[in-house]
Amino acid sequence: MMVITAVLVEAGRAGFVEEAGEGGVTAAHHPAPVLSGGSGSTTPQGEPIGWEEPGTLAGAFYDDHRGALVSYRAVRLGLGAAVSLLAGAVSGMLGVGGGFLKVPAMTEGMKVPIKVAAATSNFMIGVTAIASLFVYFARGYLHPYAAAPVALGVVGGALVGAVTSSKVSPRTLRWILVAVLVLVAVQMALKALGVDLGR
Amino acid sequence: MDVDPLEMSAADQAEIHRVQRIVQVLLRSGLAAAVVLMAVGVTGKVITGVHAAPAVKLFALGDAPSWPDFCMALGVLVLAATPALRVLALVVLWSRERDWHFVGVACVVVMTLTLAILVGRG
Repeated sequence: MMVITAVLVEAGRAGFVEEAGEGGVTAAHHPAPVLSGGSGSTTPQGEPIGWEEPGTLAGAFYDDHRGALVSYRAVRLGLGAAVSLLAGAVSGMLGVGGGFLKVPAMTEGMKVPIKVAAATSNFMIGVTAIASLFVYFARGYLHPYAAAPVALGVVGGALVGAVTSSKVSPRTLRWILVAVLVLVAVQMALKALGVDLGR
Repeated sequence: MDVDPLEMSAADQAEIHRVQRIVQVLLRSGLAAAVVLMAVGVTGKVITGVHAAPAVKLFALGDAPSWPDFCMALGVLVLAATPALRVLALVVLWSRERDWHFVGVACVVVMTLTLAILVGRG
């Protein structure tokens, strides 16, 4: 299911080329930027986006909500790598997505805008998820009738989330992230106490 | 050596935009195809009756117990392959930008995915 979100986010990211005009490519409908060192486009005013400093984790994106170009540069890459390692371990052990750890690590630790962090987390999770999916699929652990209906349901939600992300303020996104973190914490605490809400 | 994209020629930038457009078509087509395949498979499964069926293996899709199972498994495969192809496209895109740091990182990801398939095949 994480793969779906990644595909949608990436499809949305690539979607900005649809807005190509005579003067180049506008990023007015660039809903989900991904932390990247290259692959530029331009704003509606013709300013370059994301061309700066290839090889570094810095860039810029056009924020629909603010109507402005937002520049950023990721710092403390070691911290990001360490938290990602922890996120991967927790994800593998508990069967939960590591995004709830990676997004705060990117926004608070690496000083990346929350929209970039969300899109980057989706892409990371998607790629790591398909690596394990290929292993499980090849070994015959995939039950299509369990996977396909869930995947179809998630497509709608992921599409809404990817589009909504570009329209709402970073403050709102942070509150949504807080709510998700609280829910995950409560769920994990209940599991630890032996309370199963699914029964 | 990295090249400042701001100094790229208009032809180079047009070429990069062309590759990005291809990536866009690839991602949207892959997602649409996966959704259609899975929807057809789920519908077929409901119509023909839901029975307990063995799991489907990646390298033996043809052995799926029924055509709905085959459609659903193929849909999942297309869905998984789409971002993998995106990573391959990134290798091409960053190579054209001569951004070798990111070409290296993307190649590591491609190798990891290849290794996952090989490990799964056993």
